[in-house]
Amino acid sequence: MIEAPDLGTCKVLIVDDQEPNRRLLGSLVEAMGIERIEYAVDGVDGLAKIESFRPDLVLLDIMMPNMDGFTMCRELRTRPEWRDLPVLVNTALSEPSERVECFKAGATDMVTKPINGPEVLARVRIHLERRLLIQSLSAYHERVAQELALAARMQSEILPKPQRLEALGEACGLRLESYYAPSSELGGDFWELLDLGPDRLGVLLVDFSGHGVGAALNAFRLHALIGRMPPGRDQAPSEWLRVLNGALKGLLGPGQFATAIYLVFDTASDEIRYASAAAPAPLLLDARGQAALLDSSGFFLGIIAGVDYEDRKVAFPRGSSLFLYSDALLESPDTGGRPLGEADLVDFVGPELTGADPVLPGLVKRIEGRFPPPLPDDLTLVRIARP
Amino acid sequence: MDHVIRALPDGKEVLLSGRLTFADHNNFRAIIAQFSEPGAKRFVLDLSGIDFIDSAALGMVLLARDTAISRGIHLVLKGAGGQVKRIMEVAKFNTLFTMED
Repeated sequence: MIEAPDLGTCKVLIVDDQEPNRRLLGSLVEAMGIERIEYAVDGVDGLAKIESFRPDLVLLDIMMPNMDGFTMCRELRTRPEWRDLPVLVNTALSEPSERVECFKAGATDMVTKPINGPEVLARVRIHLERRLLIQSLSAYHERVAQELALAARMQSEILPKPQRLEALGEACGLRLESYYAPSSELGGDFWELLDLGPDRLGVLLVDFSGHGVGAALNAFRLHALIGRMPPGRDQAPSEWLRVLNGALKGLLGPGQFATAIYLVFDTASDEIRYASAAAPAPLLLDARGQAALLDSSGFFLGIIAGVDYEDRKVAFPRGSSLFLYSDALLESPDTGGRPLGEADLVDFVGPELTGADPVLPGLVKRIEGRFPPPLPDDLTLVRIARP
Repeated sequence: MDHVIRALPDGKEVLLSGRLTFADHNNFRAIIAQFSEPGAKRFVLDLSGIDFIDSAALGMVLLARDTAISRGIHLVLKGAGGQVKRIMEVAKFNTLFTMED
């Protein structure tokens, strides 16, 4: 239950050319416990006082010299900052068409003259309470949005930096590119490079189920976990996934799981050895530019303890490249509401992937053209080429 | 997602249709809740009308599996096609569930 806000902090501006009316309205408002009251004598004065006094509510007369209430209200509503300021018109106009005119000019509500004290009080209270509630909700909303933005930045900071891509890639004769775009909420994408010594490089790509804070926290957990139990140089990819599965099974809550693929690029034996936990199928381009989707079937991580993963192997000679992506690429709706799907993936990304390095900027442009950002889920793209 | 429930001699069959995504989790939970009705032994989720499933919804199906196991119910996935079938193959659902065409 939400408590009634304290109206004592509110400021009310009374705009009326008649001194007795100002006094009457002023004493009514004061009786509500509102002490900060300011007065203006016409529309021009009213607009100036709004900027200097910054009221939470305006009581506005219509018939005034210099600038009437209609004009003042219309002018006020052109200023974005005051678009939502409650303006309570008190008017002698009683014709329905004239009352409609008040609302057209931007009035929030109205009371008719002669002034009926209890009615004015009730309406002032309703509009001030409403304003205070909206203010506290938007303050809360803004704080949460800021925290989510910070969390999204922190999440992209745990991903490998460009210098690391370059250094580890160069040491193995590989060229790496990556791209990461967090979703409007937080998401559960994570990827990491594993230094396995000379001629070998490990790449892990993970996507936790669901969206939001929970999925993002799981990505952080995994990041910490990898620091504690990194893969060995000669450890089979299936073995390391088994280790990660065991650890995650103990950590993740019900209904939470991850897809993952772990690949070892071995430039001494010209091959990739990998194991997959239901990750999206990697796209291999051979030296002639022929594309193939690799088998990536396997159990999700974190669902069933003790399951085995399958080791697979593909040739990766000079001139080949491999493209990894998170399922946002396949599942996000395009402008017509249709997802890309696996069947059209090669046709869609192939032309960009066979171009000159770097290839991802062009591909990202192509993706953004068809799937307007922000996507509903994190998008991670990693491309590993062997020149 | 829409669903229609049909009684079977030894349990229930739920015909699902449309898109099965995270947005359906309350709806789906209500379906799973019926596992605990007395006398149910077999529960069939007919997926032939589902044309898209996302990863969060796969998690819901896996939760249904946990619930079914704990209640001693035989959970059957029936009629998965297209993208649904493909994604369930990739995640090896055939080894986790009884899958029928």
